[in-house]
Amino acid sequence: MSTRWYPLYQMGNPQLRIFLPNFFMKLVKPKYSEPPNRVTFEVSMGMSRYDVKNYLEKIYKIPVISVQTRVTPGELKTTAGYVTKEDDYKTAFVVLEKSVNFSFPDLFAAGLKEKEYEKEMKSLEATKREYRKQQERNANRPGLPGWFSF
Amino acid sequence: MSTNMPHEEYSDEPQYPPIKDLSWWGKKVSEAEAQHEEHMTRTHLVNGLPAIFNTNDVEESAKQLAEEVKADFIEALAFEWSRPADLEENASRCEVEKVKTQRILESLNTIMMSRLRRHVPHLSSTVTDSEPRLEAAWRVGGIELERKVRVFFESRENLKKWLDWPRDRSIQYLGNPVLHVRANHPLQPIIGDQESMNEQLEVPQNSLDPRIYGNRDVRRYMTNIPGFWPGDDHRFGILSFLGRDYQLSEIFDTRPDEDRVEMLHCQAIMASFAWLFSQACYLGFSTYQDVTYPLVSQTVISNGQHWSFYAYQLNTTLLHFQNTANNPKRNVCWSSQPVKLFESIDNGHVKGLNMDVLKTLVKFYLNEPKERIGVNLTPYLDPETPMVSKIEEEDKRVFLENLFKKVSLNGKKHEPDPEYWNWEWIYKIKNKSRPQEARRRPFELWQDPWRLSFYELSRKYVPKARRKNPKSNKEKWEKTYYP
Repeated sequence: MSTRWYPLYQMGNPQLRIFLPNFFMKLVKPKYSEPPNRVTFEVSMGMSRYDVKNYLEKIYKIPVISVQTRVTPGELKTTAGYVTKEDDYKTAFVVLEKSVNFSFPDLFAAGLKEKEYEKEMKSLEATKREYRKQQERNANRPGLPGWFSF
Repeated sequence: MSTNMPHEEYSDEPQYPPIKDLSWWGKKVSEAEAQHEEHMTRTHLVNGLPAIFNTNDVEESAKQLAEEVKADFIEALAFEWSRPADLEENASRCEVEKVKTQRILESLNTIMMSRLRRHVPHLSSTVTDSEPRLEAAWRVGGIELERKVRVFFESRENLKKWLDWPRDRSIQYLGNPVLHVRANHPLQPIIGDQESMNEQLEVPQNSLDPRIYGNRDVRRYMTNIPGFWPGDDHRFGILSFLGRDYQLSEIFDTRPDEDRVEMLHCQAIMASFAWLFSQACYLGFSTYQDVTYPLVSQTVISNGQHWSFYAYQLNTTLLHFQNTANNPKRNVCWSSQPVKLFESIDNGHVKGLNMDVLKTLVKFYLNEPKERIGVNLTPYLDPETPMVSKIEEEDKRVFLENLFKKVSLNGKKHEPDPEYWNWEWIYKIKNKSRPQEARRRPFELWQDPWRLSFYELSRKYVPKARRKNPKSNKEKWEKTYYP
């Protein structure tokens, strides 16, 4: 349940309780087309295939056939002249029973996304126009702050 | 860092394309593969063996011969089953099973051949291969675009229309059969042309990337080797024996029996198709040249105790591009459920022997390969030079033979694979933060090291001493005879 070291069990010890476990599993949308009985999770880097399998079977009572894991290194970016690296993450591909059909749900209705996008583009265009007008007005006074007025 | 050099998607003549390695070692076992296998080979799976094995004549002769063979068969079986595998102490269950299976099947096959030879004359003219090398490679269409290719296509306006076009993938199958039995003539077809185009024989379409099922991208020459080299008279396979040692691997411990049976069906489909396809390649057919007559093979998957019988008819090899959806012909595989030959063997005594299994095995041996009269077996091969060894021009013959050997060897390159270091990826390729350094590496000089160098592509230099006319400049470069 966790990658920390816990005291070894000795006869007479109380039931071991684990607080703040550092194992997590996050259901994500698969990047590639998957068969219907395969689910994609992003899991903690400390989890092995057996940990993922036990996590689902013991806590959620989901029979798991096999798990494949892959570690993706974080992206390397340049910010302000320095090369920085995002965190690595581990993806687990969990194969469930053949009779199970799971597909990642559509979280955003398609039409709504387009409308919002159009709205934002419109407001962006309006802002651009205003900015250009203001530049034209102050063409012979470059560098003047926007709040300055006559 | 492993090599992952970007290479142009389009090229005039792609050489050594990366292909999926489908080695059926049974170690990487995945779920729901039956659909995938059937799509890859355009096969329709039928439950139950075809009717030709159940006719009265066949039943009677099989019954009679099974009784004759029974005594020797049981003796050999009991002996080989009880013999220890003689492997290291920490050998896995699969390894032990593999060794035992090979011994059992070989000895049983020898018994059957020697005892049935008198009654079944065609067995005298067969050849048995032990642990032959089976490789088959073809191209399958209707597979989804790889993600990085999809991203590339989406970024270019003129390529967007090809996004949903069915793409071809090269598949290579590497098999490990236990025994192959080959004959001079092919087996009779089980169903006719009309039936092979019957739409009711459904072939499931599965357009997912084969890598999801555990297959890997490998760079190698695509080879088609059915267990023997060209020029062999016995070029038609009639019976093949496969092992099922992978069924003992841990992954099957908690699986229901249906999964095990499905794995057997997948194994049979792929092995039969691959064997027939590579035989067809030797006869002049390929993915792009469809077979003009059907080829048939029989497969037995066994470990001595559990036996499954399959018959496969190859009607078509056209699998590329849109043929996965549009090709009217389909290949058919008849399957049987796994059956136990015996319950147990104690001190050399076989208990609970199932004679039906022995009868079915005998029926497979009885199936006679006959000459196909009036059918041109190699319509696409030049009748005068069907093989390289028949070519009279020496230079051409030597060149083609060396090329064939190089391709089928798939040998390691003497030079190491091109690679770049981790820091180069970080500071030179991904984030160009070292403009002060001299540009020497291939990725800085717009070269793709995976492409064959000009030197390799160009012809070999012939020294003056070896030219026929030493002073001639026309014989400077060695002639090439690429087909």
